[in-house]
Amino acid sequence: MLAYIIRRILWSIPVLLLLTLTVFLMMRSLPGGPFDFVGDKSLPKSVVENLERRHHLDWPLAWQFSSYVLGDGITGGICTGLSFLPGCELVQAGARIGVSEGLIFGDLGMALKLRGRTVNELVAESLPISFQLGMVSMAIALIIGVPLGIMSALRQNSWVDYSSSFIAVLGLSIPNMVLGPLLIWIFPLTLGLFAIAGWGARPPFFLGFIPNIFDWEFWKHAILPAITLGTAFSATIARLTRASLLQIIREDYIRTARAKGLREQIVVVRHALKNSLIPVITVLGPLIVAVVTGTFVVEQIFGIPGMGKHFVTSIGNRDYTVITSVTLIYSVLLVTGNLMVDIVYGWLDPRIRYS
Amino acid sequence: MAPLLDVNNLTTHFYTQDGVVKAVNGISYSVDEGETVGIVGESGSGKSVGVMSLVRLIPTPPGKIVDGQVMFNGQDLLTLSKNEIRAIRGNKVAMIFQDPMTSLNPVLTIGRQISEAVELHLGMDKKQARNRTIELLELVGIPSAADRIDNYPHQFSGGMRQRVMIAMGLSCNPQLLIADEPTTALDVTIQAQIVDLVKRLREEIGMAIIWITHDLGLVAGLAQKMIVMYGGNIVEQAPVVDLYKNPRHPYTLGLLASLPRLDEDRPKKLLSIEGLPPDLVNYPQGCPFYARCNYRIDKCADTPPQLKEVGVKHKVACHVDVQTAKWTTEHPYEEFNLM
Ligand SMILES: Nc1ncnc2c1ncn2[C@@H]1O[C@H](COP(=O)(O)OP(=O)(O)O)[C@@H](O)[C@H]1O
Ligand SMILES: [Mg+2]
Repeated sequence: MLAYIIRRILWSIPVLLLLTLTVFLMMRSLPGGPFDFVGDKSLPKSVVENLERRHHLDWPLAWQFSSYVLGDGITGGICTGLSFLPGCELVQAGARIGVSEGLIFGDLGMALKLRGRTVNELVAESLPISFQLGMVSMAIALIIGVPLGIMSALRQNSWVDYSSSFIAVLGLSIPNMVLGPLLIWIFPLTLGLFAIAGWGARPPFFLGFIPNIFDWEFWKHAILPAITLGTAFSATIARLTRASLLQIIREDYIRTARAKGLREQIVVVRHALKNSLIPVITVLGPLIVAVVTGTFVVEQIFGIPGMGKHFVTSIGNRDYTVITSVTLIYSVLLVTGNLMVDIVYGWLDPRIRYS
Repeated sequence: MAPLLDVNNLTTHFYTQDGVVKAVNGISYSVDEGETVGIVGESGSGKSVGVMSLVRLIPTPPGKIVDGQVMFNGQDLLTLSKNEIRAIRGNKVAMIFQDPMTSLNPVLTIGRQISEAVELHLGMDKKQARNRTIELLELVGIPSAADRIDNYPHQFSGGMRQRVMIAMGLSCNPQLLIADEPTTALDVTIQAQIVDLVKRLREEIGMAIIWITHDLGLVAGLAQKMIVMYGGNIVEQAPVVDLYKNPRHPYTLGLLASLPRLDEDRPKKLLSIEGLPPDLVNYPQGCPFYARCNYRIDKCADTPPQLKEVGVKHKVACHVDVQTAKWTTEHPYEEFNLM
């Protein structure tokens, strides 16, 4: 098992590197650059050139990528050793400025637009918040979705089933842009419950990202955005749980369990539930993707200082380092999420053994 | 002495979108203590539904036991409360099923699956139940049972899984074991091993057995009494020797003719019964076997034959005496479809 996990992690490294390269190149192929301004805000040409030099944007792309991944130290070193390589004069001149120690040493580089700030700082501030929102949303999706699915499967075609399908369809079809403002209007504005905007949890966080869950401030701010984000997923999970349980309940081994004289509750809980959650767990991987990407909109609506904002604005700003690093972090989250799903999967289903 | 199990006019239907499926249509038979009864018939003839109805394991809806009585130890199982019938299932009446690949829960260890029945019915604690489970696994011939108790079903071969199923069935010393085609999914050599195992266990435990199969050859050495089912009805019922030596229903004749025989110099061509079983939704008005019967006469088309005694404990539901009658048609099913 441990060997499997290590191998999966090692395998993901080239994938992540390729992805980083793709984003790196795609962003730079977009017209315009980080220091192009329009109208009266535009900078004098010499200032732009200085800024670009400051961030190595005058270097050939390959060297820029090398600086991002390996750092200025190693890149400069290569160019000192192999000075005949094209572009090396620029590199040798610029490497001394030292904008990045390199991804491999955990340095995500300097933000281009937020003057004087490192991407590491931005991420350290905003990632825990996005992560907390994502986790609470997933928890809500599971806590609502799984029991709803079970109830409708066990009372198939009853009013419980019909009303939960109704809720599920409703949850799936209301977009976050509608549900979020609607919740704000109902709860904080009309009923005076919960917070309108912002985030309640303050650092330091346990292990860097876990907030104090006994703090009402946290929940006051988290509950509405998490419901907004979680509802649609709870609907997906409910439908999946229902379908899966309905199929499992027809399996031969369920008949065997009943033939043993077990009570129906035990048959369901002990013999059907674990099996029926296997397909549900399988979709949690892609669902994590959806939760992560879904946070952009919800963070905007609720004014949450999460990472979604950086992701969106950095594209418009052509903030190359921020967008590349944020994408990379999302990808690492996804890889980790999928790996965790696989581990849970193996734990639920003994037929699956990773080796 | 009253029989252990006395089934009377048991009738089970399924209420589906396509109509009422008349799966079991008033079957009556009895099983004595320690007796082994074989039930044969082609697939879809209501064998499984018939036995599952005994302990009310029919999925409801769509299934419903619409009529009948199932007297077991003097109690009508069909009128018991849910709790009462559960106390009998897996305890006094145990079942083993056809496909050992799908009949065991893949995510629970076999030890857990056997001991849960023991804990429930024999009131044992976890430790006692575990010891009992190991004993049972040894009893059914699982090598190094103590090590394998914590294995999952997929770690066993088909034959071994069926042994596990048998251990589970016998875990509470049942008075009646219902085996629904327990060997159909297994290799021929393994089939023989399972039959031998059940024979041995029957001697040790002394339970009665209902053994369902569509293989007449297999039950011959096991059963004392045979029941032949067709279209949800019992068409013939006889002591085992009688049935093989002296079959009285055209369908039984057909089943026997389709069996390879070792006692003939040259094996004759294997026959299979032409045609399809009756439509259980639009059930035939007369004899259900009419469409496929070589011996049919006009009466058979509209009058369903009743089961009647033709010998000692030998009953048959047929208007014709096949011992004296001649074939009335060579290709009944083709002609039937032209009618
Ligand atoms: N759950 C069900 N719903 C509808 N029809 C059923 C159901 N279970 C069994 N039947 C029907 O009952 C008939 C008898 O089935 P069964 O007893 O399983 O036959 P077999 O003799 O092969 O064991 C079949 O025609 C089958 O289609
Ligand atoms: Mg069957």
